[in-house]
Amino acid sequence: MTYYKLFLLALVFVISGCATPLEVKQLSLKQLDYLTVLTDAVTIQSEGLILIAEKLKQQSEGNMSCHQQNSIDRLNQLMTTTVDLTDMSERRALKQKILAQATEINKVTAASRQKLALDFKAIKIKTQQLQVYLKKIKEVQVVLNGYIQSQKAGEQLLSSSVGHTSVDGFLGTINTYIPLIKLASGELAHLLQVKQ
Amino acid sequence: MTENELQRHILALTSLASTLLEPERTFKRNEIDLFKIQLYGMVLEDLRMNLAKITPMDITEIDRAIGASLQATQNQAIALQTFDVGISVLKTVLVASL
Repeated sequence: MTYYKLFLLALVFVISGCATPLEVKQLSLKQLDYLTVLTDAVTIQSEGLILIAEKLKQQSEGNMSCHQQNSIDRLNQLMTTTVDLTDMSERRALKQKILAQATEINKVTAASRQKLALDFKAIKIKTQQLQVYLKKIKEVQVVLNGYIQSQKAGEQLLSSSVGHTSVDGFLGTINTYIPLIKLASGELAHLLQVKQ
Repeated sequence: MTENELQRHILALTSLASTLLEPERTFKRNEIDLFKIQLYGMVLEDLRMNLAKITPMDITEIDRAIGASLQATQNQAIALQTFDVGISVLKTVLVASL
């Protein structure tokens, strides 16, 4: 009877001991830091992307205006030469062709400006979507942390999430990357400030 | 027209325009400008298409999963509280009876 009770007592202590390993709790808290670093890096990169896209848009709009004006100037110049034509039907045909091309130039320029504006808007929307998504991922981690920090999460989480029983080495490897990512993000942020 | 097609037209028209007399030369040079304007309009297209490949999950689905997890955690906490009480009693009884 005593052996049976000892066995039961041992079983009770084993069950009571199935708490989340400390390393897993540490890793879950660290994951939130990793996600914050990642979010900041993606934010800086996205801002850089929008900045470059904006500059490209401005340059392209300038070039479009330039070509449009050059074309119209050429047509104006050509129009002045129509007075030299003695044949009335020839003069009329030339004037019509000049007007038709002027209309087409203005139409194509307007359409190209619109396409550029729409592409730029789509780029901004997509980068904003990415920001929102990353914020949500952080929220997911906060919820997971709440559970992992609790007493009875179990060792199964440790082996299923990292594939081995100890996460000390794994944690160390991840930690070496964090300063590198922060350094790269800082350098990119500085570069963008200089360009502005 | 694609970017490559526009570039090819520009190249072909540029060499042609130099051999023409007015007024055809003006019209051809303006056609070149038209193609160039279209090219400038396409300058952000590649970037837009690349970014369009990013397809984050539906945010409402993630919110639903978060809500479900929080509810499940609460339910388990209540169950575990009951379990803890039972284990404590069992420990006390077993230790006392040894």
